[in-house]
Amino acid sequence: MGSVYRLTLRQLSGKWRLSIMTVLSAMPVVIAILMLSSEQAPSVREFEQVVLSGMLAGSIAPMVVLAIAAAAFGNEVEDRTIANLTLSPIPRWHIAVPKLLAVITIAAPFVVVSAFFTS
Amino acid sequence: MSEHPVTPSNGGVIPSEARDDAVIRVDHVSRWFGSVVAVSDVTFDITPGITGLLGPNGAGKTTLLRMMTGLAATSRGTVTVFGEPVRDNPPLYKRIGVMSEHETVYGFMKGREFVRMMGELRGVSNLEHAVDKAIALVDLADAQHRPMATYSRGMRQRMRLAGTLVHDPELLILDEPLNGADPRQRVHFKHLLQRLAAEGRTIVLSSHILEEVEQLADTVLLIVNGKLAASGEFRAIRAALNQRPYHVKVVSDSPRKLAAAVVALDSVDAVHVDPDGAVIVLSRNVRDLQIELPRLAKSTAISLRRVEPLDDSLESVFGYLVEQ
Repeated sequence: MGSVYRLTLRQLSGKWRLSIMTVLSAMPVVIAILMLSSEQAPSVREFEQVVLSGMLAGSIAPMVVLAIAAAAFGNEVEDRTIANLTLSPIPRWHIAVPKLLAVITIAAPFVVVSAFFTS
Repeated sequence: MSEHPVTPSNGGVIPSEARDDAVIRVDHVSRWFGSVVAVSDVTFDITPGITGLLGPNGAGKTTLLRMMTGLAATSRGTVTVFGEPVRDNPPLYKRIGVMSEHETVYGFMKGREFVRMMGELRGVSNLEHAVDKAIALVDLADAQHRPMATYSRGMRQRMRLAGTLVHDPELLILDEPLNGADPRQRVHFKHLLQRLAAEGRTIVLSSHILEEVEQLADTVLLIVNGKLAASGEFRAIRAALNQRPYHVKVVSDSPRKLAAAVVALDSVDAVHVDPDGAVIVLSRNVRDLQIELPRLAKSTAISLRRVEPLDDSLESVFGYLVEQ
């Protein structure tokens, strides 16, 4: 399973993908800073509803995870390199699980760091 | 249809009789996509040796290969490899090496990394030694530490072949393996396959180029429109091809004089002059015509400007065989 995990990590670590993920993750932080620096600062409840629930949990985090997860399998299918894996003498879950773990490994830091600085 | 079973040592295709030593058994297999029939009721056995799967583009070769590798399900019929169903049977891939038609590689990986990963996935013991051996087989030791994105098309194909060979499979299935290979690589590839076959392996390779398969495979399966048009020894197929009538267009400075002279040749069945002034020759013996025509032109002082076959496409060759 280690081979598929390492392969997927390298596939997902492209400069462009990481840059886009960084920009997406930074958006709630930037908006939070703007809101807090405004003269009409929102209440904690408003901030929680608009930024944390609405933006971060509702759209940014799913987008980051979806973009990475789709690339984990989508690129292999699109490039037709998936046969290198499916024609191996390993059960299918030995392909799916490491890919899922690699997605979590890449996506989790973006989501966690973004949530930490935003809140 | 020509059917010539051969001995296992030479590689063989047995279309209708079940064989005990069959490595691949395709039994009344059909595959359709909606209303389109890609493969229609095909039956054959493949035994050790090199077998070429030949057919024009869109004939159903890749669909057939995908069913033989378990990548695609059959709509009807069964495919067994080493006596076991190949579909949804991952452990069988320890004995099979498959190189697909598409030459896309992991561009960020170095060649050696790719072969090592393929070995790891296939549970190869003594991995580094196996990787060294596979890379040496395809003669790419010098390029093994370069990213595959920097490889030429032919180099990518060879490194993919190394990845296919790293677990020392008994059965090799190669879809259009010579795509992108230059003449030197083709010769190297031919010798490599012959060596692997001599060690007792079963090798199936597909191509849409007649001459390519002729150089590599002793036996062939001819697929046309999803059906098995002919199968057996290549020599028998080639003999059938040589007997087919060819139309040859000859452009000269004296078409009527040439037509009158050429009709007397033994190798010529019929002659006519087309509206553009070219002589169209119908021959069942093109080899003799190739020798006789220049001699005739020299003796009659006719200047030949162009000689070209009109129906030498693979589709027309297969069309002729199907009619037989």
